Amino acid sequence: MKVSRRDMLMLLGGGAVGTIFSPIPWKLLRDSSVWTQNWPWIPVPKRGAAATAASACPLCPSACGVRVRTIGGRPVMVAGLPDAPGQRGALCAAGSGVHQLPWHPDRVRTPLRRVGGGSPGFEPASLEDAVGAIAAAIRETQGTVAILDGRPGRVLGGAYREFLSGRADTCVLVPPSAVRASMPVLRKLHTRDPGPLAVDLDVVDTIVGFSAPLLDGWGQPGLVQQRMHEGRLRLFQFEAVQSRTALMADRWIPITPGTERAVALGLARMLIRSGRVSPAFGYADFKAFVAAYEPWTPRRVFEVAGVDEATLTEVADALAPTGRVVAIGGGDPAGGPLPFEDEASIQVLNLLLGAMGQAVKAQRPLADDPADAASDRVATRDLCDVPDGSVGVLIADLAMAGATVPWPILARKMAPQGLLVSLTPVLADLALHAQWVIPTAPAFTAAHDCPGHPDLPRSLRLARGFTPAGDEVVDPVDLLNRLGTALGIERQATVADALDDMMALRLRALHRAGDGTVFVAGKDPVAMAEIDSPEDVLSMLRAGGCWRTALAAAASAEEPAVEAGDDQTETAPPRPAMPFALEQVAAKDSGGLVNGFQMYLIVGGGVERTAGVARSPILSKVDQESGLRPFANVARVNPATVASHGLRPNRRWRVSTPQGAITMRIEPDPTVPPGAILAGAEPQGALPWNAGNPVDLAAPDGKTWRLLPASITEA
Amino acid sequence: MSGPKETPQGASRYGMVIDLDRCNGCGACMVACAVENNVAPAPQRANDRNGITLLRVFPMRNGRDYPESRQVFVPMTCQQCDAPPCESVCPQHAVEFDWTTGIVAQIPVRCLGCRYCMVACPYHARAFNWWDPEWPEGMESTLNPDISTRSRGVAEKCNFCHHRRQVARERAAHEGREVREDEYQPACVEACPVGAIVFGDLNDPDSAVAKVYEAPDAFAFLDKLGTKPKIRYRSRQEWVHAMARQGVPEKEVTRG
Repeated sequence: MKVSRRDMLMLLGGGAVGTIFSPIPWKLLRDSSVWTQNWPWIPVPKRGAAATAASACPLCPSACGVRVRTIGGRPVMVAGLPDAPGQRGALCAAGSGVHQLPWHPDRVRTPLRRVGGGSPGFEPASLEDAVGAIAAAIRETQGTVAILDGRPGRVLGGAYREFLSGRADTCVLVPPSAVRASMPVLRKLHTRDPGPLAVDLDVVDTIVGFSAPLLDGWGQPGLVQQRMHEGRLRLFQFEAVQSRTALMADRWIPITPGTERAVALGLARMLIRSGRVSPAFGYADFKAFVAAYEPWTPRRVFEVAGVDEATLTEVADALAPTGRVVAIGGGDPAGGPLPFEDEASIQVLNLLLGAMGQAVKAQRPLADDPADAASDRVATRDLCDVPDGSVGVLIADLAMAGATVPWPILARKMAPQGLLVSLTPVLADLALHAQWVIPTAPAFTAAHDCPGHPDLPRSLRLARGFTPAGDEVVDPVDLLNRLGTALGIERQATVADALDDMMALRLRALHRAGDGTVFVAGKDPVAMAEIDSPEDVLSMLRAGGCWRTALAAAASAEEPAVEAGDDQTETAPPRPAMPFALEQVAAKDSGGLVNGFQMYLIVGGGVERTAGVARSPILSKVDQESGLRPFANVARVNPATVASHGLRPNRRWRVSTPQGAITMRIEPDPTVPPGAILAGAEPQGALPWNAGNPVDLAAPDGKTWRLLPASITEA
Repeated sequence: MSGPKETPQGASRYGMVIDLDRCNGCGACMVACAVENNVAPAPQRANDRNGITLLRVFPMRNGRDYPESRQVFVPMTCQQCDAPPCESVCPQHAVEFDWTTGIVAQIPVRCLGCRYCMVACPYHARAFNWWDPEWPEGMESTLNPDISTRSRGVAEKCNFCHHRRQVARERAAHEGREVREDEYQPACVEACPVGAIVFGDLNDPDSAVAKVYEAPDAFAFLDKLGTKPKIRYRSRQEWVHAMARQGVPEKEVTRG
């Protein structure tokens, strides 16, 4: 048979058509898709024995209990610890990625020394060189030697004060948010110091929030929201922006940015005039007190804050002096605290409403706590209160602070030739401005003690180390010992050579005091007095337990929180009921705009935007891709303002404050008040999305940066 | 198209109800989802259009201006449709409706990367791997061994953390009992700090999710399309229901 050319073409054509209808092409497609998905550079998850461990999240003062899933001892997942007291299984987005922080791309692996001038260039150095240079600077400086303790309440605070107590002109500095939280300010309103105060959330049935980040970093956000949903807690929130807290509040009352004080004063006046003041409230000169509030009429409050009389009356009517109402300010963890005058005005409401002794209780002091070591010898001060140019050497420990410190404010406090040393696991934020960077242990690589929020009952958890920290990590206590040796300073009271030892000492002190209760998830609470030994306490805390102090019973019953005039005896000299001059606050109007800056920049971001050390790469990714919490390169502006200012969202705009400018794009957002720019804080680091930090637009002489005069021009 | 009519007797039908009046937009669910499913940190070029975010929380606003503006946060992920449009368009059978669970499964190794499924999904709930996954050095040790990593060139989506069901089933089988409801919960449900997400077997009338699935204030997004999603949302605010009938909130973008 002769095969023609036509036959050949038919055979080939038929074969091609037949192949199309056969499984072969599909098999090839499938196999090729499989073959092209297996490459040596794609990581394969390691296997190992699965286990679950309880620990604590050290990233912020909420100090939430966490349940850690481990594979072969390596943490692979973190979730909230169910049944944990004051938390109810809640964990924020930052905490959900805490186990990734040991591999943060900006992790510091060796001591670094700054080289060159302005640009942040560093070179590796030895710890001996670092100790030598820091000791020399301490020896030679004419200024104050200070340590910035970002997270007061840790045992490290005691070690810091002990070290500083060996030298004159020293102090411990703390971020403004730590000392201008609600309860520390309320404490200052008393003639006789009632000791540390705490909000007893189990008692509170109504919260009046003044831009308080109740669901974004204040105390126990999970507890607050769950109590709200159970109908056991009402929340009235006065706030300019519809924040997440405002969104969830029973009533959000929008106010003009920066006018919390005016609202608080107006509300106080209304309570006084309507007689809804607690009988327990006393004041040396009540007439003068009332007179101070008299100018804050509803009309004036409306003019200043934009809250009409009907709304203010509605809120005032809902507040009864039952002692179960508490007013909270605080401010955003990233955006900074309220000014002291604002917070004080808010806290007066707690006095008027009789919160003392009920919703707010005094805490028993703990004797011999290593965390309080040398507190009588070394002063603790708000960073903003230190004279400009006075700090000769500053060792900054903001690693697990949960609070922001703007560089312009810190820079202003430094002496011209001052030395800044940063103790940090991550080269970001203030570390970028330091002369020396000392690597410390990131979260989940070493044990950390985790004290709770300054507004809540004193508590303590222990965060465990799951991953080896690495030889390069420096124990801050060891660094202080080396510095002490170089300077000839002998540390005294606690005499511990390492952080672990100091924590053991603290547990001994807690056990000795026998105060409070230890809660372990899934088990009955155990009174400290019933625990046999400090070692047992340690094992309970290592198992994810939480120690919480016992709150003193009704402080006002034992000792009047605010002395009434008739309480003063002849032997005691007459004194004002409050050391803080309320009259001056009442007379002071809220600040206006600065010439040339016709808008407000509101800085926020919550606890997740306080420091680079708190941001896992996966959290940065989620923010980058979701836009849920935009980075600092996005300015959220009210659509009406966008239209009136001709701000085209597709162009780049320069947001300026008197301190500087950063470039952003505009995103219309109707939850932002007209005339305002809302921007999230952005911890600076080497990552590509770090474009600029609105926090660094703060005024160097300012005491807060939550609201800055601003303008927008095309970039 | 597959659907519940083909579901074998005794099978499960997993679903979810998300209370929008409870969600405060904290984003913990997004982080937990990414961690659980071995999603890599983003390359510099990644954005809201091309990044891998299997669960994304959108703000949805009532369209009014300050101070009458109101918003809810909408966790948007694969809606696990009973009539999934992504399944029928896949030339590779990389999308499969699992009759025993009701879960719309995505099988990455079969995926060709044509992205037809992404076009077909009216919820923009699918993502495409534009880049090979990369983790900072050492961070691979935190990967979840129950989930394989995916390479560049494949689509992916939420599968209700199906691997957690496998683990729960194995444990229950080992102990000779049925899987308890709380044993199988996706990572987002576990992470939600306010308990806004309820998950479980819709075929079990005693399950928590079945009790709220048909609640008067429950609704599905884009119900009119007939995709029959097994994720429903709740809100007492009427404007939320009205917006849900219109489409996916805020960002009408197609990823990829």
